[in-house]
Amino acid sequence: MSDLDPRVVLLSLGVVAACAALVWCWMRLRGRPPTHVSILLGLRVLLLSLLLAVVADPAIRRQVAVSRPPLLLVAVDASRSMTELPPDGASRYERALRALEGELAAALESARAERYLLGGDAQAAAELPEEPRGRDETDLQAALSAMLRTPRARRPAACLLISDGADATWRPPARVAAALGAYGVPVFCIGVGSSQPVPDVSLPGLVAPRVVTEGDRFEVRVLARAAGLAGEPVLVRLRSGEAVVAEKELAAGEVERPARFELTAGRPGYQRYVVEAASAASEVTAANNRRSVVVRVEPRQARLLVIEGHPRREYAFLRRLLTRVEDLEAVILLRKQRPAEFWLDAERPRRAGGLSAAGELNRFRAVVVSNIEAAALGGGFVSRLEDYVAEGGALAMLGGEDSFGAGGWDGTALAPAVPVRMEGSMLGDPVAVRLAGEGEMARALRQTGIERWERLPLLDGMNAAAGARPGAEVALEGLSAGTVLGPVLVTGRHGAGRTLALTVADTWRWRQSPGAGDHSRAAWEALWTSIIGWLMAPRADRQVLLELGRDSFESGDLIRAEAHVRDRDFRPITDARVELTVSGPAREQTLLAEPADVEGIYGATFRAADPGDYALAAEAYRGEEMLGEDRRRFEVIAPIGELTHAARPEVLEAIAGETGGRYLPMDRAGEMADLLPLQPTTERRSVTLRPTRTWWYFVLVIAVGGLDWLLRRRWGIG
Amino acid sequence: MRRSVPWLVITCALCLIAAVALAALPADAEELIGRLKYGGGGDWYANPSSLPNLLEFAREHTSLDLPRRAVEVEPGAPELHSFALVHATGHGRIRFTDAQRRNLREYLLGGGFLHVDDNYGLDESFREEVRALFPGRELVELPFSHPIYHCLFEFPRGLPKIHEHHGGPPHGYGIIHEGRVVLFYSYNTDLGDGWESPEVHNDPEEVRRQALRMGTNLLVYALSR
Repeated sequence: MSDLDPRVVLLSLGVVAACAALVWCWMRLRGRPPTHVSILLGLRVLLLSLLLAVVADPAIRRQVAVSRPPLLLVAVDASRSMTELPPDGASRYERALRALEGELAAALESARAERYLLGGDAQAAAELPEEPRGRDETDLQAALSAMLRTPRARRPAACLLISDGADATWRPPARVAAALGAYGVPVFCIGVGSSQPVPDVSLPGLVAPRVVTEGDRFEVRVLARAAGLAGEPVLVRLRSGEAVVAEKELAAGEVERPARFELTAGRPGYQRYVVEAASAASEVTAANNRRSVVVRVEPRQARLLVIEGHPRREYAFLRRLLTRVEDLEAVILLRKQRPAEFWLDAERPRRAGGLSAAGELNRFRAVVVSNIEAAALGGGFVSRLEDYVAEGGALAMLGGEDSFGAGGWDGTALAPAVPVRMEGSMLGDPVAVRLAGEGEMARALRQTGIERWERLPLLDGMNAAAGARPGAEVALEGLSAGTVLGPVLVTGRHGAGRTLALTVADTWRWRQSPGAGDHSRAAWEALWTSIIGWLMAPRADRQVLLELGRDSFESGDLIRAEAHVRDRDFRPITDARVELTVSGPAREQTLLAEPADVEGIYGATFRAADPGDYALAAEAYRGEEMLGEDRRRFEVIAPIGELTHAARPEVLEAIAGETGGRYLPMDRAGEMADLLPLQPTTERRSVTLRPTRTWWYFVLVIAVGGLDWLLRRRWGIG
Repeated sequence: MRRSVPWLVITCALCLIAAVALAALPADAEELIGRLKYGGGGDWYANPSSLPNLLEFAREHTSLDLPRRAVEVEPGAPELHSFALVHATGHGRIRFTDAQRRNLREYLLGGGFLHVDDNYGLDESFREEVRALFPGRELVELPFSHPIYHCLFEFPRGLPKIHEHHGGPPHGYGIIHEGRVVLFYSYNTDLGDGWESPEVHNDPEEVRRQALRMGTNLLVYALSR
């Protein structure tokens, strides 16, 4: 019972009710003329049948044929090579638009067209704009794939691609085509633009050694490219700063023309060499006619800068020693009057004025800052000192009442470089010293054979320090009545450089005092020759080395930086944390470098958006210990993009061949309208008719009922 | 008991005053600048206000950390080696014992500096002592281009003339060891008189100032070479 269709039940009840109604009608019509009875009963049978049919709701099915316009994908390449080439006349993109609006317009009207702009991907557009924003990097394969794999209600009949075939990937045509063939949509390609090289002079290659020694000869190698200008010579200039160092004319002939410049390393420090190729009148852009490379020039001679705050005995003895050291050029800035009247304390002393008399810090292998308050040097110079150390210089801070915390050095830019944690006062107790630790300096002092350091004449106080910084090594420590007062001689690293702190100011007492003797004089000699030897040692290989591969990039380029991190024995470190700081003209960003596939190499990728000079710093840590730092400088120039790309019709031919489409050059674009498969598609559809749900069925029911009513009135039947 | 209380108070007060006075002295006051207490009968104590005045002038015009007073020191005393500069002056005879000469020579060759200022009458005996102190060496007159005349204040014509004793220009002599003047002898100028307080000799202010400047050059030289 429960399986019965309610409609069948209702229909059965309706049939029974209809039969009953007919019997009741026949009984009421008995005695009437037979003709009237037959007509009225017939009408009521018909009316009841129509009503029962509404309950039954019968369906009538049949097949019909439907015709629809085909779906056509229209893709136009909007890269810079399309929108900005050729430099004179209509661009490739404008020619594409004209073709779509002209010889191809009729074809497009006969189809349902979906329009796309191609760049790094495909962007749908209701209408193709007159002046699209030129895409810096295009990838035809990726953009076409994105367009073709978009889900649609029906399959596209074809794709019409108008492009120059050139993109930023330079993939082989067959590879691009093979990737697109899988979508099963024929791609009909119209090639635009000339495949002749775009006239342009560029400098794809520039190689120079990263580090050279002052006075050494070295080579800068340049590769100039004269695309489309093979018949013209190219003049290449090498500049350092504003000065033209050398120039060469590269004879006409080959497209790629190498050149070599032989130079002598000049002043120590970072030298940026700029190579410029003279601009040809007909070339498309001059933005790629310039590249630069940074070379670090190491000082050849052992130069030492001493900045001394006071004429004093400690300084006088140190100065005498410095003048005795062979092959050492010491430049001494001695402050003779407060606050900052410096003298060059040479054989014939003379007023130096400011600190600038010393010249660039990079000239020196080491700098000694001796008992002078930070304020006397000024914040700018103190920051330059920190840069100097971080970039590989050596620095010593010597003690005294104007040094370390007592001299206001704590909290300055240089403070993190000093290997002791400074405190603000002087300790007045008599100080004895003793050897400590097993670091490089302690070993050097032990090797001098001096023993019993604690028996040397007592020193008169020391600068207070709360210990050595993490990673620093204590070589001497100060004692008073058997109690350790703090570190006296400490060495450490900061960035790529090395630092030393000596927290006492009167070691001269070992040289000349009532208690001095041969032993103490030898100890003084050993101490200071060790310190000077440590400071003047040539810069060691760095534990952290930052590599960029190039010194010049285009705006928007993805730049890959790699830091090579090694321990002191130059074994790769695999558990380091490497932070990269990129400082550009507009902003600064910090990145965490990820370990690369090779042990000890950590890499990060970033994009430099704004043209200008950039600084990149890598700092490597293991836990809290700083392993080292390295810095590089590079420049970012305005983007060239695909501005110099000639058309590559072979790419378009391969795409068309692989997908079953056709390729035609732009001057035959009109023929493409006939080649495109734009016939309307015919589909057979199944149609279901339900008569009881139509308006005319309703009218029929009303008409039958109305006729029955009219006849009854005419024949006088109630 | 009642009588001892005031003495106790006075003793404590004196101790307190002494402690404050000692604390006010710079740390190296006892050993930076010395006055040589030599033998032979000469008045080594002459020009008593000269060194304090010089030290005050030098403190004002340089970055030197100097004490307020000089300390007397004998040529044979071990403490001599603590001094950066020792000054000697007087009018009479100067004489050292052998032990004093050894100690003084060791001091000078080890890094010390002796300034002798002839206050008129010292010259003959001092030159004898120099010959005994440095056998085979002679006092040499320093050229006007020597750093000692230029290391802070400029003296293009050498020593300034302070007092006239026997006519002629002043002379600056030196004993040079390893390129450094270890003994400087100012003759026929009387620098020490120029350092004295103004009321002592009533020298013109400019003359006095020149003397103090030259004395400051000696301090700077001794503490930087």
